[in-house]
Amino acid sequence: MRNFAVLLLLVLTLGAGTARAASIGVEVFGGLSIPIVQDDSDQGTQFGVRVPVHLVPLLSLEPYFASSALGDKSQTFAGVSYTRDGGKVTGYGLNARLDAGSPVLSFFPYAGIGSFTIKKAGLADETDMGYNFGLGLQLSPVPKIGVSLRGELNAIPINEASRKYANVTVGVSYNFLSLP
Amino acid sequence: MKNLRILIPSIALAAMTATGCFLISGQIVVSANLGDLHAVNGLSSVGMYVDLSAESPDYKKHKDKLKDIVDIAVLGTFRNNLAVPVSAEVWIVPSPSSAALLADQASVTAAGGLKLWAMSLGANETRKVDWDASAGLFTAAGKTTLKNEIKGDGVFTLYLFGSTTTYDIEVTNAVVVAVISANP
Repeated sequence: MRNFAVLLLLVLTLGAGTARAASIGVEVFGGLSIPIVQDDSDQGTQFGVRVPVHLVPLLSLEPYFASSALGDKSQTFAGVSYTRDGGKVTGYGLNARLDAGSPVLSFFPYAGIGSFTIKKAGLADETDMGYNFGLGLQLSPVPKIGVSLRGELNAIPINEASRKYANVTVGVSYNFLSLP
Repeated sequence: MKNLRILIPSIALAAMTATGCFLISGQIVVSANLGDLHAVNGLSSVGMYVDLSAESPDYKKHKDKLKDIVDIAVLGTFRNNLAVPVSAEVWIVPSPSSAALLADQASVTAAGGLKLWAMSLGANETRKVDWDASAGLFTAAGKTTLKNEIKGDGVFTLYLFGSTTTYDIEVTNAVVVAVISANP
C-alpha cells in the first residue's frame, strides 16, 4: 500500500506538465487470467473491450467489459483423478486511470469497480461487486493508436471471502474522437 | 485536482475494506474418503461416519478461519447390479448421536436424516461420476445441510440407499469433496 501511494505521488508529479486533449477511444485486449490461491480453477485466458474517455488532464475514465475462461483443475481423490470446470468470469465496470508520461510513451496506475458473474458447471451463477487495480504502460508510435500492457489484481468479495485473479493483458486502442 | 488525486487510492481502499482480508483468503479443496460401499435392500444400511477434522488435515487447519463453502461433490464409481434402473441416493444425518451406523432408512429419517444427493443409473450401468455433474445432483435441502455441517463441527454421517424397493448398488472409491473459502 505504501509503495502504491509513493507511485501515485510520482505519477502525479511527472504528469503535471503533460495535460492532453480530450479524447474518446476504444481498446480491445486479451491476455492471461491467473486465479490466486484457488484450488478449483487454473490459469486461463481473458479478453475484453475498454472505452477510455479522457476529459480532463491526467484522468481517464474507462468503461470496460471483460470475460475470462479459466482452466479446468484436476485433483486426485482416493487414487482417482477428477477434473473440475475452471469456470468463467464476466464483468463490466468503470476504471479510473491517472495518465502520466509523454504522448508516445505513458504509464498509468488505475483502479476500478464492476459487477462480476462467476459461472461454474453444476453451480448457480454468482454475481457480485468486484474491484480491480493495477498498472499499465502504453506505447503510441502513431497518433490515435496505442498498444498497452497491463497487470492488475481483480478481487471479487463473496460471503466474507473473495475470489482473486491476477490479469496480464495486452491491448490495442484507437482514439476515434480527439478534441483540441 | 485534489479530488482526482484521491480517487484511485479511495477506490483501492474501498476494495480492501469491502473484501476483508482479501489478499490472504483462498479457495481450498478438502475431502473425506468414504471407501467402497455396497448397499442392498433388506440388509444393514451402509455408510460412513465422517469427522472432517480427522479425515482432512486441510479442513482441520482452516476450520477456524472458514468463511464459505463454495462447491461440494460426491465422487466415485457407481454400479447398479440389477437389471432395472435405480437412483443411487446419498443421505445425510447432520448430527449423529454416535459413530455407529443406523440400521435402516427409516431410522435415518427418524434421526433427522435427509436426501443429500441422487444419481440415476440404468440397468446394470456402471458410471464414474464426474465432478461437474456431481455438483449439480444435490438436493437443495441436502446441500444447505451439508454446507452447514462443514461450517459447523464437520461431523455427519452419510448413507447409501437405492430409490426403489429392491436395489443392489456398489460404489468404489467414494469421496465427498468440498471447496472451502478460508483464510490461511
